Amino acid sequence: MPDTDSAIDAVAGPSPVDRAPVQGESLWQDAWRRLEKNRMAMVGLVVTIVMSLSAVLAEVISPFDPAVQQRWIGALPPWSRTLSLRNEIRVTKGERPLELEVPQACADVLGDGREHELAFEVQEETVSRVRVVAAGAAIEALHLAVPGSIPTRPDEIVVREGEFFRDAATGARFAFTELAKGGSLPAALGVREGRYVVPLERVGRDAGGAYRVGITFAGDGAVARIVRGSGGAPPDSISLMPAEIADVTLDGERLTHLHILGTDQEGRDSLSRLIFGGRISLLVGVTATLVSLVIGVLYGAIAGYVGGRADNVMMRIVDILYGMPYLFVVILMMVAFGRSIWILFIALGALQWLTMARIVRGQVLSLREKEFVDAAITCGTRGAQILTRHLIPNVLGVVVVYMTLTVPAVILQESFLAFLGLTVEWDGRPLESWGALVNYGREALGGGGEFWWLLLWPSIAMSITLFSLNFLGDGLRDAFDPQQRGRM
Amino acid sequence: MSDASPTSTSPPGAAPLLRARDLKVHFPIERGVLFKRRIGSVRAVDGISFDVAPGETLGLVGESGCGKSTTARAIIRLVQPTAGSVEFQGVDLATLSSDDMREARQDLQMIFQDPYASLNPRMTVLNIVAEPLRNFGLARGGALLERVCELLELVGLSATWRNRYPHEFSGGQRQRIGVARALALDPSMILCDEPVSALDVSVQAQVVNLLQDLQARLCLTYLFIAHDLAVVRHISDRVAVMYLGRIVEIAPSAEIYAAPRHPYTVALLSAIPIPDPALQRARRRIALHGEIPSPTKEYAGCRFADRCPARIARCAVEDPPFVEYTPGHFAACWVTGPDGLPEGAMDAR
Repeated sequence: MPDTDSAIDAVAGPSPVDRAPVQGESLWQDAWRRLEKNRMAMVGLVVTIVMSLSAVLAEVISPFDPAVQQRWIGALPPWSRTLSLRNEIRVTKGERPLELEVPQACADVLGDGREHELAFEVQEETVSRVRVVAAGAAIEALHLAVPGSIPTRPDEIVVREGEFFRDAATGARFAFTELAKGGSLPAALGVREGRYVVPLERVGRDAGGAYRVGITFAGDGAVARIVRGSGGAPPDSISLMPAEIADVTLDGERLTHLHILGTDQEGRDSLSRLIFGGRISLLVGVTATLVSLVIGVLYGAIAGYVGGRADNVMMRIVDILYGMPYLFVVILMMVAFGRSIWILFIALGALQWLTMARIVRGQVLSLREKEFVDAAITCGTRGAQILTRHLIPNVLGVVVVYMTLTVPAVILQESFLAFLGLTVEWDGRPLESWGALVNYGREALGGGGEFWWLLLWPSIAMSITLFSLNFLGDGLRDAFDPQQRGRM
Repeated sequence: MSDASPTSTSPPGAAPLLRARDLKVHFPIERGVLFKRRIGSVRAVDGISFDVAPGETLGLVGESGCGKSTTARAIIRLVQPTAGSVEFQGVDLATLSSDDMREARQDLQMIFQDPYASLNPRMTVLNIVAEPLRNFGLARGGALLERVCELLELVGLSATWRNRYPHEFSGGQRQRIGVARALALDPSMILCDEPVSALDVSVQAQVVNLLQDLQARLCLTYLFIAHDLAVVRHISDRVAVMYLGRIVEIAPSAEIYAAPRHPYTVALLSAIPIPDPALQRARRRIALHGEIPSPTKEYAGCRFADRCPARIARCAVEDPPFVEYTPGHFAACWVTGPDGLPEGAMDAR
């Protein structure tokens, strides 16, 4: 009888290795093909992807910083336009000047040759400073309008010295400081109808030929106005030192940004809050699910594969943990270890892995009796590899389905916690998930319901996401196990 | 009291490749949640002995639940034998450590019953066939690919299908993949656990022919399990008939079909359909009555006694010995004599 090698040599024709292999279709590809036909699941998938992308790219796509409070634009209904406060000028108090970039709309108006009024209302007991930088030579005058009560005493307007006041063209140093000291400020600026007007010839020019005026206000309620004359470029930026700005108007009209979904009572943009809230919700959902995935799959696979007494003990532990009231545990953990987001991940993940472990164990228990596991043992595969190469890959379909259904469950649980006020913090800043936004909206709703949008948007966002994930999960289940359709 | 040492039909002097002696596999029946009490056992295999000579095929037949598959699984240690020994190439497999057993399996492979369950659905054919080679580090890279392709061609599959998945193949093709995997380590013996039972009749013949062809080319030894005497007849040199955990008759293939000595064998043979309607109608089938008795019971006498048409009083009380009637032909029956079963014994009821 020929031995193996010569028998193989007898195989005729060119070496079979050289012939191009036919690509097979794995069960994953097969499942994808079925999923593609499920319209609801595909809609769910697309929505899930969009939501995930918006969560990942929150900084890029959100129009405003969700944390900056601007009370003067608080509780605006959807589709409101507000001040031209650009996000990049967000600076905390006391660090550096807030930049107010004059929007194009404003610049165009200012450049039309007529007289306009750009007003900043400064509401702060402490010292505030308004700095106006205007390129070009067209500024006729800077009016400082002080309504009623404020600078009753002119020497309260203190003009500080600085390069602003040096006229670069003539080299003449224009010092408001001196004027202020001399007590003749009203005269120097000119008081007209209760407003201080700075004549343009008094405004210093910097090296670039731009006019710069620095005025420091003491007191609250001061208004700075720029009045432009004919021609020339408009002021290109106006910066305010740390002080809360109440309003910026151009000819009595607010310089606006669009708040599509309105703002909340603190003047935070609802859309931005929604996007960042989604990030927290999805992050918690996905992370807790991943925690549960790792623990649950390993634990369940080991329990199922080892079987016997070890399985018995391991699953009794799961039973005991199941019996614990999770809300109580989570609250205790947050009280004991602080409101760190890590605690939330651990607390929710530690809860979710129980079901995952049970599912995986059940699957492994049935899989390990399959003949391919016997076959693997027969051809010398070791225990750990049987687990990783044969059992776990076959469990993954079920795991993916369960994961997709776990994410919305975790989101809902986190929302529930947030609704109860158990929000988490990061770097001392509260992380407000959709649940927290719903809670905020509920409080804002009050009795009259006039701030309905604060409750509506987070509710809709959460519902859509949960629906999508559930549809996707159902679709995946059908795709992975077509025989199971309609059951379970 | 049983003789328990049937000789093989292999040429005298040649050592058997596989020697099973008094092999027992009992599964405990336990009750209780935490503190388990053993309240009995399922005697799946209850003391069987046989030899398999190098290069031969021993057919193992019997109805479902008689312990055929458990025998094979005990030999290759997928279940731990309760007692007895399994000598393979002079080494007792039953007492090997699991690491040594892993090494021993390089020479002893198995083909499984269900071609749909015996291939991991998540692996490509290439990975399935390559797995044993990788496990023992026998080939890697290009050599591995080449060897897998050779194996696929050897079992009659195109090597171009190597990147496909099991679910893309028919039952017969899948069983060929299983054969290729069993051949990968170049074993000297393959345990075939009902390799064709799950296949269409037309495909059964192809796979049996493939196995015979491979046996001739690669000098393989088979333990061929089937519940169908017709299939076994085609491939086996000798046939062993099992009933309820025991071998009741062992004989060279031609002899067992021509001159069966155990009533159970006679009944089994009469159940083989004959592909001739006239003959099929004319012959008398022996219908066995009663269910297979429970393997949890302990028996004083012959296990087949309850259902045996030829039983005598002694059968129920005393275990019949395994006696060699003609060279290589053993049977365990009180009724059968040197000339076979007495005339009309099967009509006795």
